[in-house]
Amino acid sequence: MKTDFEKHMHDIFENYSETPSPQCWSNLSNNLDKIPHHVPPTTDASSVIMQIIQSTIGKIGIGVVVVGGISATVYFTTKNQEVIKETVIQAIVEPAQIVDDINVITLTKDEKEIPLPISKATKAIPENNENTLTTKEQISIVEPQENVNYALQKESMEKIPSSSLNQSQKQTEEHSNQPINPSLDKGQTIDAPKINDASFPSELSESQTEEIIQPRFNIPNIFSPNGDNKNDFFVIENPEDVTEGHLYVYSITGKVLYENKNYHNEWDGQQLPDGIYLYIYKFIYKEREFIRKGSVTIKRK
Amino acid sequence: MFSEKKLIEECIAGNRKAQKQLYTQYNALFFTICLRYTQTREEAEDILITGFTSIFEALSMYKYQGSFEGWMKRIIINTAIDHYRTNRKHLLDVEIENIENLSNGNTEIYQKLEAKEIIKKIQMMPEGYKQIFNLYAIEGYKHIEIAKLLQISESTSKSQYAKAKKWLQIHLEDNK
Repeated sequence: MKTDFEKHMHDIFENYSETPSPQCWSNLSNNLDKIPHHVPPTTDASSVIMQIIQSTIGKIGIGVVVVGGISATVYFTTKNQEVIKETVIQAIVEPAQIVDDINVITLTKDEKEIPLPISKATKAIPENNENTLTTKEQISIVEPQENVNYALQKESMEKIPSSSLNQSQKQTEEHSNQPINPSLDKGQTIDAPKINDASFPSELSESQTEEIIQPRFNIPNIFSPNGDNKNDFFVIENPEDVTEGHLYVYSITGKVLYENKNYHNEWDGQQLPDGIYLYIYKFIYKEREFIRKGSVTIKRK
Repeated sequence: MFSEKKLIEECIAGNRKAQKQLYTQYNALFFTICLRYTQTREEAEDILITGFTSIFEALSMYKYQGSFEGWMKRIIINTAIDHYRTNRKHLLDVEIENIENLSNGNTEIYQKLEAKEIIKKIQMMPEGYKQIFNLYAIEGYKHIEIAKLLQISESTSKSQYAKAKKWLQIHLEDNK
């Protein structure tokens, strides 16, 4: 119950202020210099992702791009599925396009046969200029590299408002079930900036040789570990044939918070605060390895 | 001069001019808050700088819901509380003497006092009192919110507040 006393106190300070010393601003602006610079606002989420993909060319394995809120994160895995590198790229997505869920792009490429376009390109450029290259410039440098063969696969792209990317939903869904297999790209040249071409997805599906369907099962996107015996654990309803479920849980910034190489629904959210977390779930189904990725919300109340 | 929305966008993009405008617009208001949570001006300035840095860092997460000023205020207050979180030992239970002599809810004496004098007294308060007093009496938080924020029980918040209030009354009486 607020009494007159509190009301009075509040009123006194409502219209009262003192000014700090001018030194404060100069100290603050020093701090502001240290805040990482944001990429200028872009109107299209898919172009943010394109920039990231461009910057990953030349690196190995699978790049997972997570776009959510203000940052886009790229995770690289080696071929034996270890996460070896995480790169966080700050990017601004227009508020209307900010998504709560994550969007995942899987990028595979043959590292042996493909020269590393970025390093090759930068060779021709004086070293001191290298750091000042913007992503845009890198794209234009990479573009003429004709033998850059890679397949762009995607999952859950619905949330990215790019109509051309959405067209390929069905074909690439099947395609993404394949493990890293660069051989399918042989003889097909796909220049990275042409991702918006409508022909792009169909080229991919032509090379589809084997059909393996990922089993459908439910992974919850929310649970409530509050000890009331209802939804206290993150329960993945594995079908019988699924074995060796390997669960990673990340914070939204990409830090590994939980890992279990043989997951049997025992994650209770530890002591983590309520919020959104990302997971990667790898499992074996009919002797093939699959990956499911997504976000899960912990909500205790 | 930028409008609020434009100002926020420019600040996110790292426009120093916009950042300065935001700072100039709010520094006095927030500095006064910082003063209430600290003992010295220097300390208050430290918190102000840290708080503003956090505001600029978090700016791109602002969702344009609710008042912008209120959103920034909460960051400043949380910064001030974090500043003392490590100093929890200051949460003293100071014995108050002669409480009976003071009439409860006597607001007359405060009418005559200036905010400046009250701030000086608040700065002298023991840390545990200070935070709860500021949050409850001035910021208008509820006890249950304070309990959550400071990770104490609701009844602790209530009793500490009552003591803080009396502490202030005694010390303002002394002033006369």
